[in-house]
Amino acid sequence: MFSSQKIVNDFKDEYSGLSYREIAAMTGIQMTRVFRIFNQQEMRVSEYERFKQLLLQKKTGAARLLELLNQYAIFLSPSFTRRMERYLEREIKIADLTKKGGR
Amino acid sequence: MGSLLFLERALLESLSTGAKSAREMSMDLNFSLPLVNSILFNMTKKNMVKFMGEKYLINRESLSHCLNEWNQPESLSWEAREILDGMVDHNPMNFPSETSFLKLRKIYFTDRDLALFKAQLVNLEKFLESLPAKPRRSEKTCDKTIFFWGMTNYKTVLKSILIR
Repeated sequence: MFSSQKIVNDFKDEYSGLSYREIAAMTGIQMTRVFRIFNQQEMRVSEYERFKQLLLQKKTGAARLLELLNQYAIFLSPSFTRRMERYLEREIKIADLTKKGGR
Repeated sequence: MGSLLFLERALLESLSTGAKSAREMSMDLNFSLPLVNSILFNMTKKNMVKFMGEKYLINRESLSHCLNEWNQPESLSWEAREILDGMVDHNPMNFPSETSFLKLRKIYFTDRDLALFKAQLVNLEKFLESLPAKPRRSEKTCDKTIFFWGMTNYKTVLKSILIR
């Protein structure tokens, strides 16, 4: 399940001031279809994916990392996920020590 | 207890030559004093080090229980990753200096080349083994040199990537 309206609102926040024509060019979705989506019509999964990709490009740092995991964690193997988990735990431990004590 | 951070290992190595104050450790490791205090606070809490007569020293009884766990291949490989990350992040491939560089070569070995290479490697390993792992009197822990060497082939690396 995904919320069309949520992603439309997020997209409007990140790419404010774009015309329907420009959004159509960016997403590869027909302009009339973009208009409908922006006026409450439900998105198809392929359309949702295109908007998601464009939103992801705008994100940086921890927000991007969380978004990447949110979208793609399902494709990662359990062993790789465990390794990343361990890696993050160690980095957090180091960050905690340096945050309290500087470098 | 889990594996040891390289920061923690460096601090333990600094203490392995004798009890030190936080300030002495800060100078020995080239860390800021607050960072040394932060690591020491954590290690004291875990009973790895103890504070006696204004100096810190290794809590050997408690540490002997951890050593086995820290020296497990998985724990050591995490430390190796941390060191390698540090080397790669420092970018010695692009900006090699006399004391810090990382080199990588991709080559085809014939059986003869491999035998020659192994012989050279034995010499190098013997030379490294002959050098002291503990500091001489005036040497600082932060000046200790780290060597990495090893080899693999495309097949092994690709397989490892594919089974992740």
